[in-house]
Amino acid sequence: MEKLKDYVKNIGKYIKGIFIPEQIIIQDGIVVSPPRSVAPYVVIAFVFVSYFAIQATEFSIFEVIYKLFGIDILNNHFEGPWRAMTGWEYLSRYFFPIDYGYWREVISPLVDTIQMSFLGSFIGSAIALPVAFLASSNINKNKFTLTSARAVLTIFRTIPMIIYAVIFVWVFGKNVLPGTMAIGLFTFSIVAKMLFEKIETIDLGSYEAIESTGASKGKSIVTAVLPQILPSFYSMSLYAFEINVRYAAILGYVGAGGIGLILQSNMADLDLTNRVFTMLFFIWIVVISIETISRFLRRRLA
Amino acid sequence: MILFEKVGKTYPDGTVALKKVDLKIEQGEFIAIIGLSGAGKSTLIRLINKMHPVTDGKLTVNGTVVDDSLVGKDLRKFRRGIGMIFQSFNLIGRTSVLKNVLAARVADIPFFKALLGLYSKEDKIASLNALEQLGILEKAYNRADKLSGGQMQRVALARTIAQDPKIILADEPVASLDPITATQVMRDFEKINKELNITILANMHHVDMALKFATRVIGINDGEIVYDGPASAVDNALLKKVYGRELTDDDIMDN
Amino acid sequence: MKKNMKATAIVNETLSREPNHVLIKVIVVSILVALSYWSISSITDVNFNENGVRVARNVIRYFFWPDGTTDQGEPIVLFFFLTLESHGVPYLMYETIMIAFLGTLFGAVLAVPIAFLASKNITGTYVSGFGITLITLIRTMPVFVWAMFFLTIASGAFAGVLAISVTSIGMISKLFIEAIEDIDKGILEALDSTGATTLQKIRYGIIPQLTANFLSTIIYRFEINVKNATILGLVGAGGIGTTMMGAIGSFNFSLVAVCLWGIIPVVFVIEFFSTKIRTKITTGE
Repeated sequence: MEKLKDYVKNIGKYIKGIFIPEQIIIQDGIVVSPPRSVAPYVVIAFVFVSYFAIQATEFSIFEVIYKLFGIDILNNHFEGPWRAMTGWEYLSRYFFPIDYGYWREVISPLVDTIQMSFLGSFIGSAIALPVAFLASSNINKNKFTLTSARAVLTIFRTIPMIIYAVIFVWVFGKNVLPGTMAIGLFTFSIVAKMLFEKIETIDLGSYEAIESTGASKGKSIVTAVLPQILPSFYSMSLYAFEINVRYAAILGYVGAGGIGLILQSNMADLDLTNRVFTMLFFIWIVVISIETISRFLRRRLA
Repeated sequence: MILFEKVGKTYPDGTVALKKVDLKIEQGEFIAIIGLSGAGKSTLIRLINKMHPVTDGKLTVNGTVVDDSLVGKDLRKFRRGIGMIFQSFNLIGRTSVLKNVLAARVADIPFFKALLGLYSKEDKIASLNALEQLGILEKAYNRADKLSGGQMQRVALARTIAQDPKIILADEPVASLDPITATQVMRDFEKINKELNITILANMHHVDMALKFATRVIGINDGEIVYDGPASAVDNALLKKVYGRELTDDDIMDN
Repeated sequence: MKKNMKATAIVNETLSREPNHVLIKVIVVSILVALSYWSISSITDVNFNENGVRVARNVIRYFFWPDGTTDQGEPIVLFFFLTLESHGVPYLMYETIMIAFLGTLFGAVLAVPIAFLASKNITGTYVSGFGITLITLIRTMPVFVWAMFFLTIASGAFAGVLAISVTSIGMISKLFIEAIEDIDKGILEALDSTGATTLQKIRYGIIPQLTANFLSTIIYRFEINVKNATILGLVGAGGIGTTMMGAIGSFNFSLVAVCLWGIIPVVFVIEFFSTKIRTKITTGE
């Protein structure tokens, strides 16, 4: 109790201490002021932004409670498509019992998904390799091609993969090709980016040495630089493949082929939602397996 | 023969590295270039194979005028005849010693073979011979980045020999080695110079190494040649002129 | 010795020892070729015609010169720059970033208990094994699927926040687990010996060990989450994706394009600063 009183009495001092650390007087009266920390300001900024974020996203924990359990704590009268039943009722009524037998129809689109991811990753990585050299400031001294290569990579990378899928579906129709192309484009942009950053860190001494023997620029690159970055390149391509399998599972949502196609139709039709968990289980198995294989191979490469 | 006629070098940023250098080097000489760092040693060497272009005067190397018109294919063909050794060895990491030596011959093979690393048996034998000359044949299939500093510099030397050059330019070849290894590497240079009659121009920061192995010493101070003569005639007074100060322990490798 | 070089016995012997990687190369290349062939075989029913060519041309044209109107007939340019209040690009990007921000924050909070559950030195082998499986299960599920589930208990942007929170758990809890499993106990003992209180031990003993790593992971996750938040709207979970999905449905290329031109600089700037800050944190400046 005494202690608590002490805390309360000195609360002003504590708060001040958070922002301005107390000066410490060491021997001979020398005063040491510890550096001010940015942490408290960061925390305040976080709280501030959170306030706006909660407003912008209409975040309401009461809504979740109401929709999950049907309890309207503050009597807010929430509206929504599932108002007739709580979240639990909805889940148990429509997703259970799980339709295990549906697995037979999952296999084929799932294989499509794997094929899309593989081909897309393979082609995308292959194109990324030469472009990465074009985008490396230590290899490419031509300002114009360097800047254009980087600009193209940035634009390609920041456009979401699913948008590519949509566009390619418009152009090529609903099949596996749009998905493969979307994955290829995305892989190209991220592998090229990771790779040029890697190339910029390597020691170019050996490149200079080979150039001094009278070899052309291209030959010097493939002889001196390529062997140094190939293991990283393989590793990056495998990593991209890992991500792509996970992404490919949703590309079908816009008609770009693979398992997403039936995921969407089954989610949308309340008579079919009991198939969803069967599908998710198989997606999960595939993602985990490919991740395990890829990580094994990447460890070997390192 | 290498002929410098009033050769000067001014870098794009305005730094004057060399001023009106006159120099005549015969085939088969072993020349050490001494001087402080920043005196212009490195520039002098790099002008010879046009790693840096000459900005003033005329430089002739074995009958070829090294000027702005020497570009592209001609420049590459010209560079074929000049080997270069670096302080940091500049080997290709993650590849075998043999592949490193073979890289010297990449200039002569088609691009797709270079890309796939396909070398002929002749190239391989030539490279292995070069390795054997330097007594490092048993490391042929080891990874180059797993060797010691002295071994790395030998591989670099073997790579240069495999290139079959008339001239070897060495930029501080032993500066990152310990005295004993440095002496061994310098002996290798000596051997190559004598047996193959290759001209050697080496930048040497360490005076003792330069005097011990080179037959001719060129002293550079602030972009100008202040001494050019036999190693045997170099004395303390002269070194003071080259270095502009008394020698310190840093300037001598084995003390 | 170099011209007409003759191989000596020792050189020949060395040459015969040359390691042969041909077999492994042939195997790897064959596997890749076989997989490619098999994958190409899945591409069927490609429906490429004049209409496709026209669409492709329009996509490119409107991407660089989006001069159409919104579905309400408002000029696109106005939509991109001026409509600050509710449904213009600036507001939609603001909403998208806020979804990512709040999602990252809740993800970090949710990760704490799960990380404790999955730490070997706290819960033991079996429970931690369960915790790790749970994390893998959560992590491998695409963010879209989570959003679809959360849309049943929350609406719009709020469902997006929940989906992003849950998908963030994997990466953040992995960091916490590592931190919890190798907290340097020596420091705690040292503080104990100075007579520090529990609060002080946490403040000066544990938090400093975590902050650098924690900040770096959070920032990186935020970067990923912003990218995810831009597409969540495709299933109706808020952000700029909702507008994009509408535009896609009505083939309004211009509208899709201006949304993309809103996304591209924002994602780029966030990526740029995220990389900068993380490098600064890890190199300890």
